[in-house]
Amino acid sequence: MRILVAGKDETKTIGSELTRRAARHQGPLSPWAPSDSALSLKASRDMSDYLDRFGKLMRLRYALCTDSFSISGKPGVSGSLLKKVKAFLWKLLRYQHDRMAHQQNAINELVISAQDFQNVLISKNLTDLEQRIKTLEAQSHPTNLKVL
Amino acid sequence: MNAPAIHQLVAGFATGDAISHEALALQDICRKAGFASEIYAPADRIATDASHACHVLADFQPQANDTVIFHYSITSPATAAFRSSPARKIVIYHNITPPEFFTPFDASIAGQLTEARHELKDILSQATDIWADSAFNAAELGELGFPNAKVFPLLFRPNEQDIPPDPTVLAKFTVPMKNILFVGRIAPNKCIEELITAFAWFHRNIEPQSRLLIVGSDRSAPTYYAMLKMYAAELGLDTVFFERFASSSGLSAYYQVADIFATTSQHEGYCLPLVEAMYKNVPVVSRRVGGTPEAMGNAGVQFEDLKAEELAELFGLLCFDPSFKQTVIESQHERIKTLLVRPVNEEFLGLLGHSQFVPK
Repeated sequence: MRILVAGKDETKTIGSELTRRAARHQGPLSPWAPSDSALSLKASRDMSDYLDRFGKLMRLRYALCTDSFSISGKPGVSGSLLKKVKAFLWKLLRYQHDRMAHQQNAINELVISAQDFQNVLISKNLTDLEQRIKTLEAQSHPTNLKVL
Repeated sequence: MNAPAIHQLVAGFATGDAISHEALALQDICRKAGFASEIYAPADRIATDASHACHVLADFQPQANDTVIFHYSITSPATAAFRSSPARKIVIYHNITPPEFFTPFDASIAGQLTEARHELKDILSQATDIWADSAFNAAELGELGFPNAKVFPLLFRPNEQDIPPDPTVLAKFTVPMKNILFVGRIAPNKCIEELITAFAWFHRNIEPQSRLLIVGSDRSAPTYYAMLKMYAAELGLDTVFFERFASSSGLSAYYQVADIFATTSQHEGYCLPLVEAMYKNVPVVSRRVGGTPEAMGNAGVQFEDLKAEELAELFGLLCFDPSFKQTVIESQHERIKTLLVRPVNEEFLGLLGHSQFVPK
C-alpha cells in the first residue's frame, strides 16, 4: 500500500489508520459464489464465451428479491420516525409487492427462455448455412485442387 | 499554393471525448494564430451530434506546405490518410490501451488496439515531430526507440468548466446524500468494478445515505457496462447511478453535487477529469497509475495497492474529517493555479516551430 496526500507520503500514518479501520468490514459483499458473480465475465475468453456466461448469469438472476432488508434512516428523532414509517409501509404493502414480483418473475423467466430458444434456432441455422456453403464449394471446385 | 494550414486527424470524433476535445482546443489556437485548421475523422466514427465540427476523411487533401497533426491511440482508416499525406507530419501519442482489457468484452476493439501497437513504430518513423500528452507516454515511446518525443500535456480549458449546472441533473439529487463521482468512458481499463466494490463497503458500513454517480459514455464497451450494471445489482446497491454521457452543463451539475471524485482506473495516459474535478473544488482520490501522477501533481489523494475496504475508509475520512478534506482541497488549489498560468498558445506554437505567430 502507498498513500500520498497533497504530495506527501502518508502510508505510515493515514495508510495504517485506513488498514486498522478496514478490519471492521466483515462478511461477503456478494450473495453469489465467485463463479456466479457478474465479475466472472472478466474471465471470458472472447465474445462468444462472454455471451454464454452472460446467459448463465441471467438465468440465475431472473427473480426479483422480495426478502426483508435493512431500512436505512437519517439520525435524529425525525429520521428514526421516518424509518419506522417505512418499515410499517413495507409490511403493510408486502402482499401487493409479492403479487407483482411473482408476475414480474414469470415474465422475466419467459423472456430469458425466449432468448435461449432464439439462440438455439440461430445456431442451428448457422450450422445449416455453413454446411450448405461447404457443399456448394465442393460442387463448384470438384477436383481442381487434386489436379493442381 | 495556398497559405499553410494546420489540420488534424483523429480516429473518431465525439462530444465529450478527450481526444476530440483536445483537437478542438488546438484548432482554436491555430485559427486564432491565423492558420486554416480543420479536423478530419473516418465518416462512420463521427458522432452525429458532433458532425458540424469535424470533416469526413474523404475530404482530407492536405498540401505539401501544410502540417498535419495525427492524434494516435487506436488503429483506424485515419492511419492510411496520415501515411499518404504529403504534408509535414506530427504525431501526438495519447497512449494505446493494452488490448487484454478489452479481450473479454469486445474482440474487435482488442484487435484494433493490438494492431495499433503493431503499426505504432512505422507511424512514428514517418513523423517529422513526435509529441506525447504525458511524460509517461513519452517514456513509452522512448522504450520503443523514439527518445525525442516532446511532452505536451492534455489541454485544460477552465472556461469550459464555468458553465451553469444543468438544473434537471441537480433536481435528481436534491435529497442530501454523500455523492462519490466518477467521470470517464465506461471502459474495462477504468476498472469501475473496483470502485463499485469500495462504494459497497462505504454504503454498507460507513454512510448508508450515499450514492455512486458514474458519468460517462458506454459506447466503447457496452458489454462491460452490462457487467457493471449486473454487479451493482448483485451487491444490492440501489444508489449506484449510471448516468451515461453528460453535456458540459450536466457535468457541471455532477461536480457541484459531488463530495468526492474517485477513480480506480488501471491504465491512463493522463486523465483530464482529475484536473476538472480539482478545478471544481471536489476532493480527488486517484490510483497512481500511468499518467495520473502528472495530472495530479502534488495534489489530492493518490494511492497504490489499496484494498476496497481501505478505499471505503478513505472515502469516509474525506467525508467526515474536515481538516483532512481541507488539506486535500488546498493542495488542489495550488495545482490548479499552476495549470491556469500555463502558456498554452506559446507552448503549442513554439513546438510547431511557428513562434512568430505567438501573440505579443
